[in-house]
Amino acid sequence: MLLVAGTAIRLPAQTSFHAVLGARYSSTLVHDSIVTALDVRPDIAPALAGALDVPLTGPWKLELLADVSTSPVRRHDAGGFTAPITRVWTVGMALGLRRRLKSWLAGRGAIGGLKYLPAKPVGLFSAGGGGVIPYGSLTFDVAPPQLARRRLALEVGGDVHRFLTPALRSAGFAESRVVYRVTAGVRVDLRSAP
Amino acid sequence: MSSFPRAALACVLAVACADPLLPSRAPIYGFADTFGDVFHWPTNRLPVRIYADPRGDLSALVTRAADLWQEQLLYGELTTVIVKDSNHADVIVRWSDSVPPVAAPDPGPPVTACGGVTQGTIDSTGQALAGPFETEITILTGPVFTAEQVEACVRRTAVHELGHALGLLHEAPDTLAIMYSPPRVNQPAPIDQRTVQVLYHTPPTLAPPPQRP
Repeated sequence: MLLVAGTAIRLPAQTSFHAVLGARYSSTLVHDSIVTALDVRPDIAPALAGALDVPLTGPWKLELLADVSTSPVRRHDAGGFTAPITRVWTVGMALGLRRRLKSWLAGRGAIGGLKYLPAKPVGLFSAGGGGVIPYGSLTFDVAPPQLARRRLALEVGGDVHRFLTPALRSAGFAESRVVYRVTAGVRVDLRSAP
Repeated sequence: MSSFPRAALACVLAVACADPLLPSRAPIYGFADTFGDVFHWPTNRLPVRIYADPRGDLSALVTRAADLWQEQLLYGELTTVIVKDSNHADVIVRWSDSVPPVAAPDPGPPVTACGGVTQGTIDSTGQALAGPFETEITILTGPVFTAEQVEACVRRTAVHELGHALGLLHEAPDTLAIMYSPPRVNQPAPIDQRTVQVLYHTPPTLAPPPQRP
């Protein structure tokens, strides 16, 4: 079976892999007002991404991206009080186009699907995290010579998607909310085919 | 700035500034007691510890009721746990007398084949509960009810009585609400959800009972 799989997945020359370990900020998932205003948002989350980079013609590369992050989600009341709701994992898969803009700077745009996976089916996640949500992202990585020699780069990116869970829908929310996430991390090129 | 980036920026800002409309939390029914006191379990007393009589299927029905109430609250306002020792419970649910046989709930029109009472005692200061909420569920013995009708009634009543123990101290005037007395529906209705949501964001006037070990 392994041999069959090995022959089936034949990667083109110059195909490479990279991984990014970083931290992610997410904007408010839900804004509500019950007696007083409240927001629900995840804490700053560790984020891990991996990608397969396939060269295309010219300066472009196709990137197949997988991304995961996890953090507690909390309610933030107007008075400053916070209450934990549950831990949530987000898993994203995306397809991106990347190109070098300067010798030390590269940029990537990607679109894909994102899934929220709550650790417990409680509160706004009592009927799950909802389906796969489309999202788009824009990322830049900077590799000064000192880092480039070690195949490292600093990566900063943002993505945008819309958020609504089945429990929120049944509680009367008719529209999803736009959520932004900003991620900063260190990118490492793991392997590069000759 | 060329027209394309300008248009893209305008689109992003339009999306960013369009906050979704918030759901209405009206109408609701009253949740204060007859003296105007408001109670709900505070965050520092979560999870609310519930003991259910292990006889019959009361424990399963109380667990279902607790899950249903937790689902009505969206933002971590309420969590519950079933405990095996009534000495460590914040809410105690017992049969008052006979224990009905376990049966599948009757799917027909609601029949009042049982009753429930929940009591909370206020301490001498008048500002806090003195002890746990105590609920008793009684099986009515006058007319003859089928085991299925009794099961359906206990199922509804467990949710209703637990609603009282969680702070809905008033009966609802709406017949479709689970807090209508006697309850005619099997689970909290939208009006129950709105009411319990508003309750758990309203400052209480009654403190919870002293923490039991």
